[in-house]
Amino acid sequence: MSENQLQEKRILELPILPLRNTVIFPSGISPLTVGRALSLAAVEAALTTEEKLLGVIAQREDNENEASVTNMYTTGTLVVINRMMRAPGNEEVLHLIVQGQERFRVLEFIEDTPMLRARVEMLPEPPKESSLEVEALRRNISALVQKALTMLPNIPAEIRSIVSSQDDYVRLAYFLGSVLDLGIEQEQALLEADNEGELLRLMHSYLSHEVEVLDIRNKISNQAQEELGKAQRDYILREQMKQIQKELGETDGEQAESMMLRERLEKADLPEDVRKEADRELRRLERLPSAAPDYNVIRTYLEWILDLPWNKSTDESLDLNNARTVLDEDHYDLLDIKDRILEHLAVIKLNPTSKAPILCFVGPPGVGKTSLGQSIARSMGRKFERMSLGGVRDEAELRGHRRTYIGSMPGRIIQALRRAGVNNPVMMLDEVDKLGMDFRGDPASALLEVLDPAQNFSFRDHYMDLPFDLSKVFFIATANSLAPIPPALRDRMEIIQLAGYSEEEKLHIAKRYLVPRQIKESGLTDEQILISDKTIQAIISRYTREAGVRQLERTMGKLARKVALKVAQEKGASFTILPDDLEEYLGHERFFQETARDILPPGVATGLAVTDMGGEVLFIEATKLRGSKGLTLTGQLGNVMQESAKAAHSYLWSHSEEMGIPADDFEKNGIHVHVPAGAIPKDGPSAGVAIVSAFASLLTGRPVRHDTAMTGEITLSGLVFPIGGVKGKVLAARRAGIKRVVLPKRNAPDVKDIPAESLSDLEIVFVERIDELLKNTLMPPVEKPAETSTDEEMGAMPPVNESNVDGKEARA
Amino acid sequence: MSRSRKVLIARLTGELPMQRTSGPLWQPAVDIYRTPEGWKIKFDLAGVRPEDIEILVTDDKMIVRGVRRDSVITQGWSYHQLEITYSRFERVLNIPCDLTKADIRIDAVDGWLLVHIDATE
Repeated sequence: MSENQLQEKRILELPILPLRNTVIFPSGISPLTVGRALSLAAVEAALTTEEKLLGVIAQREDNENEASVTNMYTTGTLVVINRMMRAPGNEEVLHLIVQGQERFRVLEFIEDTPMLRARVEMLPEPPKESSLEVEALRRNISALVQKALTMLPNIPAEIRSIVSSQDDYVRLAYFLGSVLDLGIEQEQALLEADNEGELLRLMHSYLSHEVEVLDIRNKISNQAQEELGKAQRDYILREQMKQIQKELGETDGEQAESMMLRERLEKADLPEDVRKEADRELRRLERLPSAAPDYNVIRTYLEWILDLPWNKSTDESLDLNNARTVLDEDHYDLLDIKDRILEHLAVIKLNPTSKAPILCFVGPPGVGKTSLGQSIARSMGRKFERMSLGGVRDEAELRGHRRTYIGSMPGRIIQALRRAGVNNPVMMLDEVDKLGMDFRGDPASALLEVLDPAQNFSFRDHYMDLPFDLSKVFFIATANSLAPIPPALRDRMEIIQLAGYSEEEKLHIAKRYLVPRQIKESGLTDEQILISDKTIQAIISRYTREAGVRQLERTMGKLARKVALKVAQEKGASFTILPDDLEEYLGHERFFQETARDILPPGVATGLAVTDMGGEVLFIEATKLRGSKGLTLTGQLGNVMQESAKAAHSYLWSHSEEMGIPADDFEKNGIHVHVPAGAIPKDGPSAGVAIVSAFASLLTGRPVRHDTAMTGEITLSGLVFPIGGVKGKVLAARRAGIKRVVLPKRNAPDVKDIPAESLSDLEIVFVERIDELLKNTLMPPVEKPAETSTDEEMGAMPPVNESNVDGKEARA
Repeated sequence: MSRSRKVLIARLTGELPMQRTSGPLWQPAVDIYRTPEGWKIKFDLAGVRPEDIEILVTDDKMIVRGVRRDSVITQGWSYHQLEITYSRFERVLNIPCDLTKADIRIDAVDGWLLVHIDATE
């Protein structure tokens, strides 16, 4: 076969090597490994020829290992074996390097064992075309190749130059066919293309697909790189900064903080479970960067844990005498309270682990409930914390908000403990009767846990979420009246009533505490101002009307200031203030005491009531209405008082004979009962005796004794029942100039509460039955013609009620 | 012209004929001497028979083509290692002289192919 016959049809017989997964193009150099029997035979046969020519044909992509005539393509490539060597260690495997020469088409397979042989016709190179389309394809391919090269920076320079300078596009197409990752079918299609146009068209579509994929791959890779790059960069910079700071000797800001917290944690004296929790939180904190939103939340929480006095307490000052002295220094009288405090101290001395008491001071404003708390704290040597609960409506104020809320904080109790710095302060809960209660929650119920000695040793605040032992805290609640306090809460506290002060007590308090304080306050000295006892008394009775001493103190202050003014204006060196001077200093008298009326017409009786301001004298006025029927009640009387009046009426009606009252009096005449002052609401059963006396007086014509006041509840069967507020009422009676007070027999023990000096000129009479009562209250019968009922003095008998009045209501 | 078997020389004018698709597999190494008479060109063509060599000459180019055949291998032998390149070769040389007028002779000695060019320029 001569190589000169370029254009003639050339037919050769060749050994055929089947190729798996690859196509060899003309001019393409390719390494091959041959091991299959069929292939080996073909290669050996080719090697024995002079020119080492071999035909290679690709197998169809059937995944069949074994080649056979049926599963091979019909177009192949004539190759020359350049190099060959046997695999070291395995003679049956050959490594070859072949170079493609020309394409051929199989005419027929001659042999298939021991190897494949075929008669083939050599194909010419796809002829170049010069159409516009082919020119366009060439240029496109060129551009695509350039684009691909820019996206593949790893291609060696030689290949770049080969590819870029190639102007034989057929050769370029074959070259690209061998380097691009194309499938067998596609490569075979390239091989089989018989003209440049077809070849380039195929190559163009493959190439553009490849370039597109490359493009997208690049984009993805770039994006990933960017993101990765940024995160990496930041991390590296931060690490470098830490290093620099370390070198400078300053540790990282957040490091320092967590180290400081850890130190504090080690030193702090915490209960076991609290320490565990704190440790856990601290570890979480150390892991977080300071920019994380959680960082501040956790840090604040940790600081709260570390600030709370879990185990810290002030030592009890157990010197009872000293305690007594301190209490006496600050407050006058209040013996039962002082005794209670000393008892508590004694108990602690004997049993250090006893639970702190929970007290509740109930009394009118100004009696010194809050200052008593401070005094108690001082006497026991404990810290004092005060919390005003007036108007608190949200139970979260007491228990705190959970940490999940932004801006959450522990409740007031925990906050107060932190302020105190110890776990056994005296904590004063002011105005506990003024706790609000609405849809937002019921703070009073929140207090139930706090004030329950059986439960408060593990008080869980919502924010802290750790049990805190409140059992050592000495709670003192204050209230003006007990009624608004829910019963469950009332039950947990020891109620101590602080009634108002009597006039004598006020005098003592003024002399001992108020006057010196106010003189000091206004910058005067004791020589510059002198206030006599009588003056003080006058002020108490005529310029103040209160249960406490606030108004009194203010009045003292006013006096002192006026004197100070005079001193400053150099109008004198020393001023003595006498009762007569009071008008000049303080103006005219503000209050007149309700004094006993000198003469009581029939139908009027003197009763006693208790208000927030202390005891009061009330008058029950009854009058007959001829021709009218039934009972009329006026004076803002509450239901209980009204019923009391009805009971009195019915009693007398049923006992009219014994009393000497004509029976038809009741049938023919109505009675109108009135209790001044008309604007003040009154309620309660303790005016019963006064009402029945007024009625009896009205109907029998015998006036009630004007020097006598009375209080007590009546029953329909004629008994007199006990009432409350005895001390206040008795003192009020005395203030008013009453000389005799009639009380229910069963109230005799209460009278012992009244200081003896207040009772000095009072006669107390105890009665059990209404007839006894009437004997004591009505004037002896006068032998007179049966008086027609004087219609003038029909006083309405407002039942004077006892029991505490909240605000304006007067209770006898 | 040569002592050995005939090497075909052809002078051509004008364009070179198109090269074969597959292109030559290998290129022989060439030494070029300048002599007082003209040029001497030596090709390393061991194992190539003169009748398998073809030389084409144009105005200033010389093309040497041929085929190296393995004439040693006989029946019964099988290859253990193949390194020597067989099959087609081609080499194109630019000689800076007007070859159309030069006198060209060829010698094949010891595997060298010597081309003597007497140029009277």
